[in-house]
Amino acid sequence: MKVLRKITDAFTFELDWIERVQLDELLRRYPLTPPAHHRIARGTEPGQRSGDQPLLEEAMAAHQQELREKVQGLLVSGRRFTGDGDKYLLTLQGEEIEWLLQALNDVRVGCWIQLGCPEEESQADLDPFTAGYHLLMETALQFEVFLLQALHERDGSTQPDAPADREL
Amino acid sequence: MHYYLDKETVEMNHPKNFGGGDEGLHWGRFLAGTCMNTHAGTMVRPDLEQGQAAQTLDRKDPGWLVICWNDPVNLMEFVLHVFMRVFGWSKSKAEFHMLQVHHEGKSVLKQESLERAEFYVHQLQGYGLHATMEQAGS
Repeated sequence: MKVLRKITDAFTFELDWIERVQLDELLRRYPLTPPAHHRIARGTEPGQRSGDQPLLEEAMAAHQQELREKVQGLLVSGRRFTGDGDKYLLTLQGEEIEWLLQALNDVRVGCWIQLGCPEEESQADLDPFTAGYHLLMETALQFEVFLLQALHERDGSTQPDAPADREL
Repeated sequence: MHYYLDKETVEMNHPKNFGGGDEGLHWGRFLAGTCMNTHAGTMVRPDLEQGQAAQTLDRKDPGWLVICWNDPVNLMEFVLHVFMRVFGWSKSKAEFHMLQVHHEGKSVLKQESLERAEFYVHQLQGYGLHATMEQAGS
């Protein structure tokens, strides 16, 4: 994946067919983070805040639904991708990159939750179930880094470092 | 590396401001109000001049702290980007808070009125960050 051109706030990316399949596979899984994952305050558990927590979850669910419709538009319309089967072009506005980042990170965080929220990635716990989630996390990471790099270069700030030791 | 820290940032991150209060949140405002639609589209940030936020707080109400917590899944560059995006911060200020989260486990990002604190927490959580709010001084 590479930035082919940038005109004002519109980026045109070139993806090979594998990258397009990867992006499709990631976005088809959106949303993967359950709304209940987010908590209003530190230490609250599901059901503990009967008044506010459900409202927060409802707000997050509504946000995910709104974002899902945009993601579906990207996947289904086909208008956004042009290409000949080997190379595809995808043009996104800056705002669209923002919601794409949100969707990709939702999938990444959702995979992490499915893996039990491990403090560190471990090769020891790899099995057919966990390997898929590890792969999705890594793939989402690669797209996130690329999109962030494109945005940072637009803004003239330092681009992200090479992928290593980047988890917060 | 040098960071410019405004008075507001230094004050917010003082230990006296950390507590456990969490009552009185009104997430329903997001459902009834306009904030929801700003999430994935053009974000309408409650733009305030530096220090203006503190002035809007009632003198009897210390306000609410917006806190971001460390987690092992979100990339440092991603968190930096989100802070700059959501708060409109300079890179150096966003980097200070990102590194504080990374090294100290959490950072107080804002001290705001209840409604604005809710807005910011919702924005941060929409990006997948671990953000919460608590009443200042509690």
